[in-house]
Amino acid sequence: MSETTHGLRTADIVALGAASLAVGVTVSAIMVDIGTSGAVVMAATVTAFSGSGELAYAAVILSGGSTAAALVSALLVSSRFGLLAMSIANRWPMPVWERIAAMQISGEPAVAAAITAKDPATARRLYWQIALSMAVGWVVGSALGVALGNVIGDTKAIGLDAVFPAVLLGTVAAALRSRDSAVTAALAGVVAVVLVPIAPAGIPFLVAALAAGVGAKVKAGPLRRPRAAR
Amino acid sequence: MSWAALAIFTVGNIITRALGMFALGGRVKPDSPLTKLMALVPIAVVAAVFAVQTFSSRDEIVFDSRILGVAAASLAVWRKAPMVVVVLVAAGVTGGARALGLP
Repeated sequence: MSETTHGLRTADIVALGAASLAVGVTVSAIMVDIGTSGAVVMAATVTAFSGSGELAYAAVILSGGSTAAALVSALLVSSRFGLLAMSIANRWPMPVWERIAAMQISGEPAVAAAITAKDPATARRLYWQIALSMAVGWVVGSALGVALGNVIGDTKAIGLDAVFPAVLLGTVAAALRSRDSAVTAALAGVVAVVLVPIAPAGIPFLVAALAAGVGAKVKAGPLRRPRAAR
Repeated sequence: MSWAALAIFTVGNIITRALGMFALGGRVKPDSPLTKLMALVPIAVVAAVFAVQTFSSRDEIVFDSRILGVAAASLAVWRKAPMVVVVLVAAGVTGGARALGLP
């Protein structure tokens, strides 16, 4: 996916929409697989607009956790959309209706493009082009995912259980390329897996969230640097 | 997910987005310690979900074909492959390994 924005071409914007479509297919197929009705899945697609949040919800349910624990995980993951909304709040002048629409369909690629654009007008244009392309992909993909989830019988045979983490990684990959987030992610991952056999279902995800407190003490900076003595 | 759970999920989402857009925007500095912590919490939970979905089933740690598929797909993500490719690699490698008789 393109990280440069000034030379963002139509093809890049279409590619982001296609990526979003792939995420939509996966997320909604998994939601159907855990027993959610197609109507709820499609409603969630539009009203919550958070594929990563839905995956966090599904992960807790799949591990045998309660709905309450699943919702807490989903909302913790979705809290990143609050930060995304915050980072574009003053990027260009927006009436209230535009603020509401922009916060609802935000995503990392659109926000990144808006932040690095050379002026507010360009930021606004790029934001909406990318966000709308991804929103269309997400909704269409989600509808396909619901259809797919109702058709496929053995999700393990086609490796859907591996697509789950892979798609999740793909959606947050851009955020992982700094040292503090890499440390947080590694620690949270280890803590959660170690807790799986011993803690009640759903709890490992919540305890792992505390890794953010450790990661916050790590200096931010690019991941790849000469690994000299600290 | 039930309709009731969806309602909570949706309202919670709208609250966090609205806080960012209408309350925090312009007031909290993008590079403050609080912003940093808020940015790291979702990353921690996402990483936990990623690891648990890769290395466990229900309440057991499990090593199976998923690891091969996720490893291959992670490599694809790292090399900035399109998402469609990431999905196909994860499904293809895992499904392929299972077809060959691995767990």
